[in-house]
Amino acid sequence: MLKIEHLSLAIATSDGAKAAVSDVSLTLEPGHVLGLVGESGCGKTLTAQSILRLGEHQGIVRSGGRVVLDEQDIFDMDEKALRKVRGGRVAMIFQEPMTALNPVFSIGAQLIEVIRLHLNMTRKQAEMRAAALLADVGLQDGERLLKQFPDGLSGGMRQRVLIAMAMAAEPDYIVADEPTTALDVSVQARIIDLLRKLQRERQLGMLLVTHDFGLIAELADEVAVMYAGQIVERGSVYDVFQKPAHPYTRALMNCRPEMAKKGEPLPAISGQVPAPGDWPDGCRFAARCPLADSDCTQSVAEDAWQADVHMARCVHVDLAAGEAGG
Amino acid sequence: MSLLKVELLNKTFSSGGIWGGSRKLTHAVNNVSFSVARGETLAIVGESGSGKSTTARIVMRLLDADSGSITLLGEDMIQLKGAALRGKRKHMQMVFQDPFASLNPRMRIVDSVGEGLRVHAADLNRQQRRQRVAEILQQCGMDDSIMDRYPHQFSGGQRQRIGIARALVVSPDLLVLDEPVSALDVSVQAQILNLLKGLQSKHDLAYLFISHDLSVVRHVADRVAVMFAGYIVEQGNVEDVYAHPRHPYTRALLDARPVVHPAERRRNKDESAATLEAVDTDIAPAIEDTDTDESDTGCPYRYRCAQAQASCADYQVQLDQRQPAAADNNHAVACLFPLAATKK
Ligand SMILES: Nc1ncnc2c1ncn2[C@@H]1O[C@H](COP(=O)(O)OP(=O)(O)OP(=O)(O)O)[C@@H](O)[C@H]1O
Ligand SMILES: Nc1ncnc2c1ncn2[C@@H]1O[C@H](COP(=O)(O)OP(=O)(O)OP(=O)(O)O)[C@@H](O)[C@H]1O
Ligand SMILES: [Mg+2]
Ligand SMILES: [Mg+2]
Repeated sequence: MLKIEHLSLAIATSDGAKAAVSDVSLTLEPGHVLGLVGESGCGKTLTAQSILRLGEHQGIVRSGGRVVLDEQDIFDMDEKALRKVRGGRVAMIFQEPMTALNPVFSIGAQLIEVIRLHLNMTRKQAEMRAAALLADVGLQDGERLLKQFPDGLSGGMRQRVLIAMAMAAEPDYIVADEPTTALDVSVQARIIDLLRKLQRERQLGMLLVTHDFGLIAELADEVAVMYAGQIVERGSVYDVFQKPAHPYTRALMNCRPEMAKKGEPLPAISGQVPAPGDWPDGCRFAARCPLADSDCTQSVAEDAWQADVHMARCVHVDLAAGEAGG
Repeated sequence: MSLLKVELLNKTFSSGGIWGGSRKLTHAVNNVSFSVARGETLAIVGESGSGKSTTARIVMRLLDADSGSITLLGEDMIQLKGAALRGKRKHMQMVFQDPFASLNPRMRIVDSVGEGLRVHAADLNRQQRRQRVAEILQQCGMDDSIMDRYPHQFSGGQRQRIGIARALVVSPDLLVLDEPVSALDVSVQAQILNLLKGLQSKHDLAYLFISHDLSVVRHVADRVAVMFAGYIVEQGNVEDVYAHPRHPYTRALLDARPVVHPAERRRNKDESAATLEAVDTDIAPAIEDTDTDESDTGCPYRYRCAQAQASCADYQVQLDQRQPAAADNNHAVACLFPLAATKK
């Protein structure tokens, strides 16, 4: 299992470190998809990238907790061990298929580099594997494609190449950060199908980061909802969609246009996510919450409410649960 | 009378082959016709490369069409040049996906937003311009204290509000919005869609709303035009088109929407989306050919269409209003074998 345990992250700035993620615990299991959802700026990418310590070069530091892969803390690993994990046991698919590929190298060169970094293969073997990987992600005519450069590919094809690259070393875990956001609906649907197929066939443990509830509804087994650097709700995808317990989850789900009556305004959440460093005491969502009262300004215990494995960080979950389901 | 009337627009791009090969022609917009009435929202949907932005840029006269006509407020826009065109531009303004991409980073918000006033309200003095910008920012939900700030350091939602303010400042009749909420998350998207709705009723604005998000379109639009490979293949009232899609492509597009609840997962098994699976391809749909070849004719969707027959190769794509049931007479489809009107 791959576990994030009580992880806190901070951003180093000129006026000191700002807390950006606080006390996040998540578990990735083989064969399971965990969705991490929340508004822009709530800390999803920082959390996801911390699994591979990818934020370190941008001044993101761990201020507490651990990321444990097979009993070993990723933060204790040396560069060499870390390189083996990155793209090896744990692969990543990024948000921007345009920027994640290097424009000056052919698709083949980039794929073969990843393969040879992680698998003990000759050039010839790696080439064959590269073509096979492209076929696995639904790209026919791999031989020809290997010689092409990213520029000549559509957004959907690039995302497939990135997925092929992620699969290159037969990872056990995959972190997908907004894997379909830049794609149009029809391509998006095919990429969703592809991810589902690969994830099931290979029993991958997947962390799916997105602000799109549709993607969560399509792919996730469990969901964690993030707000202002904290997990505010966690549960099975059915429970969370059926009975969202945290007012934030409900508010977010309700502002999807699919939920609205035509001609009526969308129930938008007023205000915006507080930036790292601007978090209030007590419930961080209180300022935007319709149910907030004086109780909410106190510190809220994590997982204040739970039913089986469905948990929410809110003192008013009873009210929230009563209102839900509509 | 419609505010904007577009008839038989065509645009072909030519470019060198990707590897320096033969020249390639891209028929980005083919015989596109539509109209938008005052206060109305017409959405254009379609996948990437289907010609939505090209159509928008032609309407805005940012790009010249090869042929076709654009009539705004009864006046032929294609013929207009120079000062006359600039004067007419006041009536239609554009909002982009990232409005800041076109803003000067060294200009303060007040000057960026007020830029249009220098041309279209030249009689206003500095103070009056400032006043007008403050007023419009407020309508767009922004505090006027931002006026003296510079474009960086605004969130996605704030940027879009500023982009909308910049378009609205000259009191246009029509806004052309190209993917205005595609870069925003669901909560900011809701704020911006509400803002657009409010501004529309307040100013009786017409919107040409480009999006590939079918749920957003359903919420905001009165009518919808579905584009594929540069053609409008179906057009009608949003409710009609969504409930009774007649073109196989529209059906596929609607089927591709993600579910809203995990219990509805159609593709729960390992099978893929049935309709899209017919011919699985991500190829850019705009029709491309080399200039030595005969131009490709026939229905452009036939390569992907499960219903395609031999005759589709000879079909002259044309929106036909007589095909659908009489009940929805605004609903037109360009297909030899349209889906049954009753099929849900
Ligand atoms: N390298 C960095 N330096 C400074 N601030 C950062 C850095 N990376 C992220 N942040 C800030 O940390 C917060 C969380 O960012 P993060 O990218 O994790 O959000 P997110 O939930 O992934 O949002 P989105 O949906 O927009 O991708 C944001 O306020 C962001 O501006
Ligand atoms: N300046 C240009 N030169 C050459 N080809 C172009 C040019 N602009 C657009 N095209 C081509 O015309 C076709 C239509 O492009 P357009 O940008 O209008 O599509 P779109 O529907 O807006 O797509 P998206 O959803 O990706 O924005 C595409 O094949 C595109 O590559
Ligand atoms: Mg992110
Ligand atoms: Mg476009």
